[in-house]
Amino acid sequence: MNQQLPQQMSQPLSNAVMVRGLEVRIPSGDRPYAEPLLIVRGLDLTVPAGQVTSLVGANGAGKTTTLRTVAGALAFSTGTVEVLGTALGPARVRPPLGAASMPDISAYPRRWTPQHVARLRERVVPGFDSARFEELLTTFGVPHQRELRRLSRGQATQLGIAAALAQDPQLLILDEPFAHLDPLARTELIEVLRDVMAHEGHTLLLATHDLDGMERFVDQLVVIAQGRDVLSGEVESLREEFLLCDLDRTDVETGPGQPFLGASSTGTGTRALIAVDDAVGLPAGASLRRPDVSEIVTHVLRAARTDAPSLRRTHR
Amino acid sequence: MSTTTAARASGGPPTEQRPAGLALRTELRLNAGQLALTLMLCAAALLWAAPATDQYAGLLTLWAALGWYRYGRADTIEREELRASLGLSRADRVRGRLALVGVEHAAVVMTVTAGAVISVLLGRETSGGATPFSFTGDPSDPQLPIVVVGALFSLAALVATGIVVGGECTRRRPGRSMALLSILTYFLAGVLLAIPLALVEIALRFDLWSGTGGIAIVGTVLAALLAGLLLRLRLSVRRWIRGLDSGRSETVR
Repeated sequence: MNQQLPQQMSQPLSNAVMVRGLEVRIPSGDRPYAEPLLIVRGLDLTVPAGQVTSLVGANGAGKTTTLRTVAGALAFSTGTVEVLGTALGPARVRPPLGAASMPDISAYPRRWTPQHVARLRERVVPGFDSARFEELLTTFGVPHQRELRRLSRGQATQLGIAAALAQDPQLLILDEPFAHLDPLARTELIEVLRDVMAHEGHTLLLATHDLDGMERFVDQLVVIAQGRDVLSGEVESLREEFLLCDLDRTDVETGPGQPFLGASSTGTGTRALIAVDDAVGLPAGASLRRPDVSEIVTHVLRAARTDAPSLRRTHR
Repeated sequence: MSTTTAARASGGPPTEQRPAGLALRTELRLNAGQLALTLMLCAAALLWAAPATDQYAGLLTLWAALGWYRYGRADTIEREELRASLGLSRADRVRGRLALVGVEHAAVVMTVTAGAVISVLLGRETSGGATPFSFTGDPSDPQLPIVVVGALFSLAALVATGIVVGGECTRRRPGRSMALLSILTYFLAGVLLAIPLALVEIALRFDLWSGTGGIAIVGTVLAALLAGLLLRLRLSVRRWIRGLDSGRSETVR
């Protein structure tokens, strides 16, 4: 068995993250001794190595909990989680150093500055590059000496990303990296992430609400609703699999067994997502076009609100 | 090529061993404020012991009994995420916490002992350094052995408190009730520790608190109890870590 290990190790990982049947329960913040809430309910997630995978979903869908579990911060009750070849789960298992996440700055002591953050990581994380950290802080315009509690939310996000990137991680896990960023900061961050991803061997897993203009940046999309993955696939494939349908009537039947996903009223008609295969035989007056990623996500989430498990069976 | 680099090139997980003590160093840095407060209280108690009394130094043991609770309160999910991003496991957190609380307990007991020694050297009566439990042997006998016995007693009561509340305070962010439970456990441990001493006294038909011979017996019994409690704590820590495998996210978000 041990003799086979070097051969296995020499194989490049095809998937940076493999999650199967994940269930995560979390205690309530107000009642620590109450029965924990089931947040993630049987989620499957595959993050191909070398690609950008984005988790999207409504607030409370379980994106952050999923990312925290993949980062090794949370225990899970059911399922398997493999990150960079390491099977997480038992409390003794250390998250692989090749994976870097972006903890909230509230994790650090109140009076710390970015320099304290660098000092901690220098001592604990092998290969942490302080010069790169400082360089990124300068690029993002985050004051090096200012106390963390005095940073803006956007600067706090940038600090977390700078700390994660300075580890030169194989797998970068970012939770809402674009939240609280102004348009310029958002563009600069995407440029930095593009630069990172241009180098071989880097994988990015992020959760975001903000998909505008991300078609060319995100390779894989995973839509989560009510703790389950309801849609996943390559962005380009998904755009080819679905069509956005505008109907000139409002009495459209939706729900399980119906082709129209996430129908919404446009005032005079109805707009809904349909699978390409279901486009045959549409009523007269229906117009079709390719949806963008945001439109796919919006309609799938609207459909998932009523029947997430059914949607998952239909469209995975 | 370093191990980490080799693993990176092969696409496999980093296989580098994390040095022992890393968890403690991380805990020390993240909880430096809380530990600094304890050290300041120690310094104040020592300063007060010289001109006045060492009784207040003994109150520090109550503060130390709250150690598991105080450090546990800082365990938010954000901090757990930070530890994970540093490559530390949940088991590392428990071991690091044990070491951190141990360091604090040692500092407190040493301070209390030093306060008692100062009192003895200045010719005052001492509470034996185990406030609120008092060790006041015969005033004509040497007082320093009583101070040592007081230190052993305090340590044993603190370790017993850790055995009872440590699991709950490391498994999840403790509620405020754990503060009360910590104090009650410390008092109860003190009472229970006195029972074997009383039994020895009855068995030997001998006043343990008069003469150095009796104090030596008390010290030996307490040292044996402390060793047993430390062993039990070690086993408890293993159980706590196994408990973290139970598959429920423990840290309150």
